[in-house]
Amino acid sequence: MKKLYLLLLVALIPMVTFGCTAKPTLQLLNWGEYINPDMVEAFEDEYNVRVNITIAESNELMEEKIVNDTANFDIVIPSDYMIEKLWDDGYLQEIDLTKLTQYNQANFVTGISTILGEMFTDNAEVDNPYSVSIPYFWGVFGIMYNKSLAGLEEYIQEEQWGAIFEPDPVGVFPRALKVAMYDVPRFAYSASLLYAYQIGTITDENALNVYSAEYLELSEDILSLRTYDQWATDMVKKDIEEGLRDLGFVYVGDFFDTFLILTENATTAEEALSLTDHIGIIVPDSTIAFYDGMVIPENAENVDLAHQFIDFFLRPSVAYENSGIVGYTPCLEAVIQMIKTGSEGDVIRAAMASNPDLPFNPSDAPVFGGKPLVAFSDDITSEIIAMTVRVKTN
Amino acid sequence: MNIKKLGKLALPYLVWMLVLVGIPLLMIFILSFMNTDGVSFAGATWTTAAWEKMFTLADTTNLQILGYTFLTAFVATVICFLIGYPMAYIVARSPFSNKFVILILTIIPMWSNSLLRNVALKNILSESNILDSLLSRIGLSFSIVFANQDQATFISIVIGLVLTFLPFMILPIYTVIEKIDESLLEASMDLGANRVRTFAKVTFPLSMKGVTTGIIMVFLPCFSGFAIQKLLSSGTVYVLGSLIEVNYIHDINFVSMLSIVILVLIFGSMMIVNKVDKEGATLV
Repeated sequence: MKKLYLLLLVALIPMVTFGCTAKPTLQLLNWGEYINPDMVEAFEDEYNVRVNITIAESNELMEEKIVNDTANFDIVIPSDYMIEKLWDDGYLQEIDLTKLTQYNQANFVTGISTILGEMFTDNAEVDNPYSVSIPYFWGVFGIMYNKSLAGLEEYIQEEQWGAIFEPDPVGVFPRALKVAMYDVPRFAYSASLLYAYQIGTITDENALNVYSAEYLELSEDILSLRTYDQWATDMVKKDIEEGLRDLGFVYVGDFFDTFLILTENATTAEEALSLTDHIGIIVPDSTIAFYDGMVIPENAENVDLAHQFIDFFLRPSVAYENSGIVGYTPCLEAVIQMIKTGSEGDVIRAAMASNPDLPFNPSDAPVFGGKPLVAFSDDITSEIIAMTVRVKTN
Repeated sequence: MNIKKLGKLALPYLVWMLVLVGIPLLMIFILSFMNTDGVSFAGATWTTAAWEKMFTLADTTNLQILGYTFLTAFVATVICFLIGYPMAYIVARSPFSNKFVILILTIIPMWSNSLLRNVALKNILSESNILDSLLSRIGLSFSIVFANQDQATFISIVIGLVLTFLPFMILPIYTVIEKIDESLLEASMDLGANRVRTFAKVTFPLSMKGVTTGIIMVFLPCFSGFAIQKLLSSGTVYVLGSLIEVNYIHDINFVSMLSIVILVLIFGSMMIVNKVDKEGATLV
């Protein structure tokens, strides 16, 4: 019996000591592999706190966790359309920008100002979208391709979205093109409408964010123009790199991710470029853009700490280290310059970011035509899903 | 009386079943006849919209998917039976003393991770595959040519399902055949039946229980799964499982209806198989 008590006591010790330290804990809801753990540790040490990270695999799952109140998160990092939806439904609180010593709107790249300029256009209450969310990473969609097929690069540059959506070109290539489509119905819908705008079938440049029965039918017709060899998400970049597909519709971040994987063991810029000279990426003039932003939910318990966390990740040195793990484009101009010039000694990332052919900072393009998606209701999303199901089945 | 008393011991289990299986099933059934916002019943209305979405002749897409799912699962199950039965029979009737080792040896390749196995299969079935790149070093080439993409997809899916679920057909059949009393077979031979007749009239009917289990254990995951189908078709076709996957966040009612359809079809096939099994038993 004594032993039993001892056992109980031993079991209780860690719990008690754990309770005694009483470090405040910041609850972070994030995507998987979307933060540098060393930087989280640095934050914990500097502020003498703990950070507890919960992972969600989609914006919708993040929404579910916030709405159902399963835990009180202090920081969440959803994407643009979900930020807008959560704000409109009253689940977020305003960020006090005066508490952020590192914040200066002019420090963000122009692409971010363009995207945030498109946010909350129908909500007059929000006069500064930065007070709802602080941009974390961003990017656009593009067309990734394998260079082994001669003439493909010129064809994509010429046709833009047409390279993905048009029927197989006759007599241009020695064989049928193998094309991959991004397997998220909403993205396929919006991209097909961008194509319709590009060829002049419709005149509404904001069509990617409009839903109507007519557009749904148009999108179905466009998606049925050719047979896709693949509908996938993370597999697309891998298959294009291996030459199993010629081209595909991907996140530009997917390309840079592939670039970094291929050059893992490279030591010089030349070596890195020769290891990746078989793949390329082209961003059409008008495309879908996204950003993920740090927001503070209405029911957050450590609001001050949440502000300190945001401020910490706005420091260029921290954001630089963070981007080394994530691979998407950072939002701060200073960080992009650090990567491009290789000032921290990373020649591989410098070779990638400073290459004029690669859109590491898509807003460097002469015309930046990236538009964020707005949230559609569940009913509309179901209609779009049913449309892509019809396209694949019939 | 003892059994009655012991029966009470099963009560906690029954409660457990009711709470964790019965009530959720009932919820799914009710949800399939409603229009709700996620799983919240606030503002929910009764409707048969989800069922109409499936069983309408105006748009047969979902029915086609149901048909395709059934066809792939059915063909895979038949092939599993055609390969699995002889394999189980040969091993069970082999003269080796440690038959189980032989059996294990035959199914060891199937112990490797099924996802990896299917990724490898996908590679072998594609145009530029690993065998081709190996053989090209000695001047040979290897590539499987399909008539068209639809055929390639169907065949790939069936091969993938068979490779993955074959052990579930072999093991139960082996167990049953192994246990058949030798003297029954000797009696049959003594009474003048030849080997074929003995097999048809004695061994096969006696092994029907294993066949039933095998068919259920293969057909069920083939019909309700989606990962293998998605991987081997490169996401170009839908089966019922992937229809649930893509819809479950946005339309819980449609997804509930699909789950009920899968349940009904699986229970239906089990009942048919059970019926066949009973007739098999009367043959003895």
